Amino acid sequence: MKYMLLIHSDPTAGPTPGTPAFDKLLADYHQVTGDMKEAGVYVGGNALMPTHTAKTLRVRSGKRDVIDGPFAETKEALGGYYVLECPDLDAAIDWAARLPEVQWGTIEIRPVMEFG
Amino acid sequence: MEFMFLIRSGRDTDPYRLASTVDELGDAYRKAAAETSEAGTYLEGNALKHIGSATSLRVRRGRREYVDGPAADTDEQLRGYFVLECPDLDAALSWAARLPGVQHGSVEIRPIRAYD
Amino acid sequence: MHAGGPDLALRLAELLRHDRGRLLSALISGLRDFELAEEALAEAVEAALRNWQHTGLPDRPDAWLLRVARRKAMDQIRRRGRWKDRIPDLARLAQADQDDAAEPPPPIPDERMRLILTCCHPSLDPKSRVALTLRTIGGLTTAEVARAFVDQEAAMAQRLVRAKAKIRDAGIRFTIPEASDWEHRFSSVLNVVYLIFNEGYTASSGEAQIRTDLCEEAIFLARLLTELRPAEAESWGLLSLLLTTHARRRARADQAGQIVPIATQDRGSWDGDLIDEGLKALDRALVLLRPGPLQIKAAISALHVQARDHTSTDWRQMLLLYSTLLAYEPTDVVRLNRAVVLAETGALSEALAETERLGAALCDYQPYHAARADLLRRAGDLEGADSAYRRAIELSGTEDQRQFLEERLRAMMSESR
Repeated sequence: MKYMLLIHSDPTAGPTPGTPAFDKLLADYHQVTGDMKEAGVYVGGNALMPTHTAKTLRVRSGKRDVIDGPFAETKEALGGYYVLECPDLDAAIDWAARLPEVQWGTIEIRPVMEFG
Repeated sequence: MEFMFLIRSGRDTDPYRLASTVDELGDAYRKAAAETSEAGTYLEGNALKHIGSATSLRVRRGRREYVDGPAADTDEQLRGYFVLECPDLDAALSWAARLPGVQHGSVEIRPIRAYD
Repeated sequence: MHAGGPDLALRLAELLRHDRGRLLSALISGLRDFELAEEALAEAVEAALRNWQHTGLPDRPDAWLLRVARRKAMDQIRRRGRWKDRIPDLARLAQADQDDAAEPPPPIPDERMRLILTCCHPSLDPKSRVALTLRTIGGLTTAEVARAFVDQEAAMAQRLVRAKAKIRDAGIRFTIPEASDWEHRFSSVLNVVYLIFNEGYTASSGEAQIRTDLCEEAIFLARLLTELRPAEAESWGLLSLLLTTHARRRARADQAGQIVPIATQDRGSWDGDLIDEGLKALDRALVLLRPGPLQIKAAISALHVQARDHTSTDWRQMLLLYSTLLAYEPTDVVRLNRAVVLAETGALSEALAETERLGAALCDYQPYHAARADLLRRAGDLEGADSAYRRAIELSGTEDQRQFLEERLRAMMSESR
């Protein structure tokens, strides 16, 4: 089964870019991603630019409405994601528990639709 | 440039309830994948299962904390996503307007953070 | 041989109450699908009601139900589109069907441990875990589960549907967890059973009858867990705790329905058989040499039920147990309970000092103010006791609690004149 792991965190809560703690964060992610690939579960993943770079589009009665910013202001922002192929939810949870952000943020685990 | 397109909609416009069968939803995603592939922009795209199948995880003081549901109780929830290669934001916005479910909800466009 | 209409329905209901969990687990094990298993069993029950009118009860009614339920499930799978994906399931079901055709039919394997673990999966909302466990293992009807939570039946039905859909769609596997995960998952199960018992025991509202039934459901589940996993010390601890607690139920309220605290309970009305079974269960736990919080709580409860009266309770031992419990559950509530015991050992001022330290954290906790009121009264601080009683009365969730405290306050006031 495919699972999408969505990484949510307060941008001010994590380590600051440029600090050794931040470098460790990157290294940890690199490690986990490598382990996922080695385990054969990695399908995809990306880090996202911060929410202030977002644009949100809505279409109402054929009219496009674009606003600057994310779809809603939330305490935790979506910072990245993985898509993994796992045998069951417990396996997906175990991978989620290894992501650094799980310690101060939230990892949302969403099963992916697999169309027959 | 790579962009992520986060397709969201509210409770009443949950695509699972709007599509009369899962196949209809699958068709919509396949169509979008085909169109974007033809245009050379498609990288990734998936629909997610209904929000009731979501689990969120935090680890605090070494202990796992589970939430039966998404990370935040926002009106609009993530239903699916695409990752497309677009020359610029305007092109991204054009594509966003053609993605499945946009007429019922919103599409947040976020630049992908490029790492080496 | 020929069971009549209402009699048959009654016997079938009895059978289901007893065996539904086992039958459902065996089905889910083969089908990997909760909803399908439940539907198939329901159809088999309907078929039983129709057929057994004419043939009477079969020798092995449980085996009959399982066989028919499997066939109904296979029919369902074939009827639904995409049965090609279910070929492995169909093959497995067909094989099981063959095996069961033997005479006499083989015993139904007990897959209930897997079923309980699935129902108590931590990714499910705690209330849903309890509801699902009560419904599928406990054999309660949806209406009974709804009443236990003082919910509308429709809302409870929805909750159960959603929980089962999550199990299917999120890929919660119907399996015994890996060794590394076992303790965590098993304690989730123990916790659910404990919650069920507490729901029944600390009834905040609802009919008295369903409350006792819930306690008994919890005891049934706790017994089952010790049968399924006799090497788990904490299951024996849980069982012991529930038994010795439930043993005291008749003494908890007087003729007028007023709460009677353990200090003044009629110990003669305590259920001796449950106490015996509870103490034996604690022995079973302790020989396993795997200590845990439930065993400690069981030992605390055991000290109460072994005492001839309140004053001859071994408070020193209990104090030791509470101190040990703190290591597992370093919570303010445990600290409060420990302070109460501290007072019983004679260290009243130390106990009061401890409760003062807890004041900020437990300011909205009714039992805190009730306990503190009592300690202040004993220390002679009637003014302090008065405000504590009033605060406790304010925070009381039930009429019983309120009346009890008001009576205490009145008694204190009249004594002081």
